Amino acid sequence: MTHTLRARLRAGDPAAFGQVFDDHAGQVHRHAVRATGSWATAEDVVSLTFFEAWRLRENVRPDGDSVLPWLLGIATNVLRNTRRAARRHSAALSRLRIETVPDLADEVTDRMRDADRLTAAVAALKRLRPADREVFMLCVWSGLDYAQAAEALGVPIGTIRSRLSRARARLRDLTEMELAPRRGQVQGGRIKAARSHQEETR
Amino acid sequence: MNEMPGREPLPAPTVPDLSADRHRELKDVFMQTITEAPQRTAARRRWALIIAPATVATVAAVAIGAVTLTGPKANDASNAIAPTVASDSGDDAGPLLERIAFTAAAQPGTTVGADKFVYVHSKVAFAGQPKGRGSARLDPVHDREIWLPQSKGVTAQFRENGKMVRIPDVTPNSAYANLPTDPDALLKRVYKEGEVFSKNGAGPDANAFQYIGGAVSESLLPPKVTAALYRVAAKIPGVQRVKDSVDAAGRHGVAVGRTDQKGERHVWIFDARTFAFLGERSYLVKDMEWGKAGMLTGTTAVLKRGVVDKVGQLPR
Repeated sequence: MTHTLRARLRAGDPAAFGQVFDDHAGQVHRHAVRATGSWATAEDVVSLTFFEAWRLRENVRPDGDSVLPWLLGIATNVLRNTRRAARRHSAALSRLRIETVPDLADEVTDRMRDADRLTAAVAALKRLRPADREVFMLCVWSGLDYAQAAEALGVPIGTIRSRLSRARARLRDLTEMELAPRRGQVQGGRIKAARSHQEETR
Repeated sequence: MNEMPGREPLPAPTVPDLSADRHRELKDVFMQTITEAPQRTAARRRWALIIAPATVATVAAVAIGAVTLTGPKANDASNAIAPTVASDSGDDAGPLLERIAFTAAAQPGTTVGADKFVYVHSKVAFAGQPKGRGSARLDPVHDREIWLPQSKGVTAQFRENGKMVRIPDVTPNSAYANLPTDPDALLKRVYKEGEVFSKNGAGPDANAFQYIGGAVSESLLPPKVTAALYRVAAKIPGVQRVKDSVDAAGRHGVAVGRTDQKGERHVWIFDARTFAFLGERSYLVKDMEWGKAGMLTGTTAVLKRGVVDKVGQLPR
């Protein structure tokens, strides 16, 4: 069944792509919202991911189970370089009416708390090295296992393991800093200082 | 699944699902794009594709239109098909790129403040792939304006076909403007940065070449950086001189190009007298599932660059 689906994707069967869209667009969207913190941008990322999937369809592995890792790998690439992807697919993108989509911040009050948490989470993720952040998002937030994350990113499993443990360690450090005694803005400044130091030395 | 040492330090934030309506709308656009029926017969369509930029570029429209009536010839420099499509020219691009770099280095630089945006106005068209076994289709050539922040963390926006699109987390202009000018360091760097494109299957040399293309096309760089990028491009294996090429605005110029391992050639076009960057062009050099040799896959022309205070403003 899955083999058949992969073969159909590789052959450019639109119905197979329609099925994959139905099955996975929601997960790709959730991944993109969490990565960007922006509802509208996430929709563009979903579209770009599927356009890229169509363009790169011959790269689907002939065998394997769910194609979600492959899609999230493409989404990761799109998120890395939205500008290039958007440029390539601008004609299709321009058919979407994004102006009707509110940003999370504009949503009604009962969503405000979620929105605040999302903003905080996105800000925390930004403190990670990009490669570590991608692995953390794929494994922890989108639930891929090591092998699937390795497939998505095209790197060895050992690399996934070490990036993930570095991401977790770094996030724990940041959490401890958050919990440390603080006054007003001072704590943010400390984290920022720690981060830029680390970034400069890497 | 993954062994979890204690609680996750940062659990996934709750986000609302993509609504059924939006799911349907996004899917409709996706399905339309990939299944779109060709509008003309196959034989005509291929030529329609290649001619598309010329019909929009007012200067060249008449001349190139005439060429289409007599049919394209591979060596006719004025038709929109690549003049050297059969094989790589074999001409070393080194001397030309050195000339281009030398001229670029002598240009007056523009300072871009940390809180400013770089504005670039260009004409662009790229090919999409409408159907499993059908040919790709080039968009109509259209205007593209981008407001690219100088600094990281600021959202860029671009406008095409009347629609503004936001790009958070964009690679800022400074990422290119601050590239090292030391040739060895820069060469290493462009290969490293080119890894972003590794999924395209075009190969590391092609990816490095593509990275440089992106760095020089939509940006405003210190003259020294621009020059260093062209000198580094000359060191990438397979970069060759292309006798004549034409940008998306119909401007002809001297050009350098590189054919990737999949069979697509990417060309940068420069003014033949001033050696200023005019635009890019890419086309297939061999028949592929989705297009024949000579088919245009992308064309651009940079018309204006400048610095502005905020998105939406135009440089004076």
